[in-house]
Amino acid sequence: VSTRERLELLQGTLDLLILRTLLFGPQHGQGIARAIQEVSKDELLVEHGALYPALQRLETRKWIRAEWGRSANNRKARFYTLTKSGRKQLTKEETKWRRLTAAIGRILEANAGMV
Amino acid sequence: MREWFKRALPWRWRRLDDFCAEVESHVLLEADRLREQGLSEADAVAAARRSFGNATQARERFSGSRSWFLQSWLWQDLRFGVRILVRNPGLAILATLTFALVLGVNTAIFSVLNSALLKSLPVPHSDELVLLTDPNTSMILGGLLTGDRSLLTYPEYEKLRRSATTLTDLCAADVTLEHLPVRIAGSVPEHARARPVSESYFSTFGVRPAIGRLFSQSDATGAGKDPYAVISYRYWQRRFGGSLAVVGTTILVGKVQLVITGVAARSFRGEAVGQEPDLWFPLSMQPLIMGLDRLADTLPNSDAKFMWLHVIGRRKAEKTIGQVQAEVNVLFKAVLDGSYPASMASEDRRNALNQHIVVRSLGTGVFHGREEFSEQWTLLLALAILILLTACVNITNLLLARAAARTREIAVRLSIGASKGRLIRQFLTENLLLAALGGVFGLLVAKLVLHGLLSIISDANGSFAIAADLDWRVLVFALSGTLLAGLIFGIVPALRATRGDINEDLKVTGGTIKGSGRRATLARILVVTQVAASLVLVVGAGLFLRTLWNLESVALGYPIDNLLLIQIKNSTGSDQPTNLLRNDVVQRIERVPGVRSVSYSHRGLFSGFEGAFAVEVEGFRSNREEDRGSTGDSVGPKYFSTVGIPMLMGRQIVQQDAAQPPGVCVVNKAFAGHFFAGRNPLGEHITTVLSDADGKSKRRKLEVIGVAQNARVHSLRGRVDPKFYVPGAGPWLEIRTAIAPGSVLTSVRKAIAEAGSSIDIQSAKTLRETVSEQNAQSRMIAQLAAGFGLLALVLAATGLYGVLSYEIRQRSNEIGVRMALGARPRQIATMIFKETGFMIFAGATTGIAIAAVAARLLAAELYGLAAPSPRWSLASYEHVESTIQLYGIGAFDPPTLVGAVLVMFMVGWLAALFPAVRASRVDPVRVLRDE
Repeated sequence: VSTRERLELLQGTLDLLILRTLLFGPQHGQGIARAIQEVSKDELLVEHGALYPALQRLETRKWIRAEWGRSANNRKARFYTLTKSGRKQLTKEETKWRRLTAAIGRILEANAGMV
Repeated sequence: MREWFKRALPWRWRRLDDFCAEVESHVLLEADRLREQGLSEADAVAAARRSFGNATQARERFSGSRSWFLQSWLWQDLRFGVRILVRNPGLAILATLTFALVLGVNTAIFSVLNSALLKSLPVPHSDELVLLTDPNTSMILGGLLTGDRSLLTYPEYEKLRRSATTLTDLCAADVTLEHLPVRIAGSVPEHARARPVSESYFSTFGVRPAIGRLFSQSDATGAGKDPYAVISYRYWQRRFGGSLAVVGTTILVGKVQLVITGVAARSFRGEAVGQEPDLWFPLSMQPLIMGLDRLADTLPNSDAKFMWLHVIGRRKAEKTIGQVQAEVNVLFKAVLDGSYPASMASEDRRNALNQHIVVRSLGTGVFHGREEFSEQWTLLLALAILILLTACVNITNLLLARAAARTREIAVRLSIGASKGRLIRQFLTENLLLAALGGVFGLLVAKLVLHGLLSIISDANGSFAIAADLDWRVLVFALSGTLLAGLIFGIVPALRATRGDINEDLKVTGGTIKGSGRRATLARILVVTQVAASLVLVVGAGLFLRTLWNLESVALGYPIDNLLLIQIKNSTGSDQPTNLLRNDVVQRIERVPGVRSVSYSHRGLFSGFEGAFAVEVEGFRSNREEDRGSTGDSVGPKYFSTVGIPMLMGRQIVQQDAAQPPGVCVVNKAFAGHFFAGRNPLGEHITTVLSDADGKSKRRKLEVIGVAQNARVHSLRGRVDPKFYVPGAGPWLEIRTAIAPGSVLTSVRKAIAEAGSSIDIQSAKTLRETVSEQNAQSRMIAQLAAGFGLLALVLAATGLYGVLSYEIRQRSNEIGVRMALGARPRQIATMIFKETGFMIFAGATTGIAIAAVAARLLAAELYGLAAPSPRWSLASYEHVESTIQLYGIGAFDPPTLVGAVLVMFMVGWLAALFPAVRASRVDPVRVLRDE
């Protein structure tokens, strides 16, 4: 297990990351966590204590759907699928996120110029 | 169905075990991945588990993330709570029963208050009903009044009904509940409670019939032309067995056959609190049924009015009470102008025209003595709430002890990752569960206590009976009491239990508990609070008991024993004050063996009815209102010697004085002192207005022939008012006996029956019984207050006992060491007693301070309650007194305080006795070995 410092997830971004991960097809909790970690090149570590309540939350809001199935190595697992409203939500969240990062980026750039 | 729910409420159907399965699958998937990376089977699973982190916390957060999560954790906590309670049933039962008892008492007292003072009449749009008369009046007034009018005459009512435009309907009802002789279907004569009401009565209230029809304004076709009766639902059930055939049958009331047209709705009990009639009949039937015609404007040959009606209207929804009052007074002014002739003395007429109608919301109905009732029961409720708080403190202490016993369990739970909030919630749930259990049993207790209270309140003859039940207000009261109490005794132990230092608490083993000084201090503070509250209650009980004792030992001014009081009535039900007491009745009774002497009077002894008259006294001038009148009574020959009131000067009224018209009078010492200060009253004259036997009012000049000792004839409290006695007749027989009055009663009844069939015995009681009834309310208060005081003492004692025994267990080390160092058992016991004494002292000091402040507040409250001065020129009025007033002592009464403190110390040390003995028997060797 790597000991280097990891980035902490910003409040509310986990939902976005889960939805985004599920865009590529149904996945179970462990798979989602693994995917986020791998795609982010180990910069982001998903805390499991936060992952499952988030999944539960998304399911309650009907952005994702869950059902038990079999994993690639034939383990029983609960698979999550993006729903139609989940897709819409993802677009919304993504736009919001891009605007936010762009705005923060501009501020940082401007400051860099001033220094 | 289940599927449908599943879709509607998906989160409710995700179960915890499903979630756990998911977590397990996560761990296994992770382990698979690690194995692929080359770890061994066991290492892979362990590492996967480690990497998942705190699964328990995840599970709890899962529970917390569901919107209807309440379902889950509440259920869990409840299950755990029940397990804890069952594990220690003694404590659970004790706490539940204590709480149930005090909550039940509180709820019962509240439901009495609720039904008498809070509930509005169960009729449609009861907020539109207005009362044009004084809700506090309970008896017919005859005479001249000035100022705010308390009751109306029949013609006044009729004129208002015809002309008022701000009201949709107006009705009138007899202020008194008449006890009339009735015969039903030829059965034996019996009595029924009847109320004459206007034909518009039921339509004004909007009452619907249970069966049949209710008489209405269209039945009003003239005096004596609507011989109908409506019976109450309860009378229908009780007397007629709820038979549908009752409609259309006749009932003989007095000498008049009335047709029963229908039964009023079950919820309707009339406009007067506590006085439900058996039947209602139209006002126009009153003269035929009751003899004396009350429908006339004035009494015969006099300007005095016969005021006997409460008048109730239904205002138009868009009109305010102020608008109704304005209109009604304009109409009333015109009525007054027409009904007091110009021939009256100008001052009298000016006073008579200066009368107003006050319009109020009918609210809970008319209720004579509402203020006294509400004070009395509010005070009782305050005492009961104090008891409730004491009990809560007691239960808190019990639960604190239990929480302390669970210190280790809590420390373990905290150390393996339970959050504090979660533990506090657990404690709260457990304790609220206790409170809820107590609440449920409390309602049962309330039912029983209420039953008892109602039977105490109700008169023996059923003329005052409150129907109280547990309605929604009462349930809300009980529920909020339960919740509040549950929070009080739930939150303290919860906070205390979770505030510990885990590292210290984990070291706690079995019997020796160290470092719990914090809990001990808190428990001591609670006990001191409890002692203080109990002391206040004991002081209250002491004050009321002393008041009762003082009242029961008040000197009347004449012997209380061997006096029989009989009220008779014309058996036709007429209220005509005819001279029923022909001399032969008196003589017949006097011939009964054991009877010493017989006389009679108009207002009796402790009958509740007092007469007030305007008087002018020769040689006495004053402009003060209270100097213009005096109380008075008409009495028969030998009244003073029969009752036993000593004559101080002159002679008593004898047979020769009874000749009409009255020309002499006897005055009491208070009258002589007030009006004839320093003069000899004998031979002087007083002038007053008296009514003859036929109802005519005349001014009479009376010569004072004697001065009698002050005698208490209506009230045990206050000073004896000036009073004068004139020769006359009345319905009260006073019979002085040589032997116990009970043993002559049968013969006396027979003698009265032989005298004539037209005489009915209305009531027969000894003077002692009557005076004792007079004190019934004071006695009830004293008994309840004493009960509360006792309960408070028991609670304080058990509280002290609990804290002491816990402390001694906890301090067994210290005690053992002391003994090993040479302390004797006696010294140990003394130490315990000293510490107990200190706690009691602290509590008692606080309690006395609270009692002193409360005494000051109470005194101020009671001071504002000065008796209303009677308005002179009333033939009779009802005597009202406050029953919560202390008598013969101040609210700050040093002997009571000292007594209460002594009782507190006695009970406290008694509670300390057993723990102290146990402390002195601690075996130092065993304690030191354990160490």
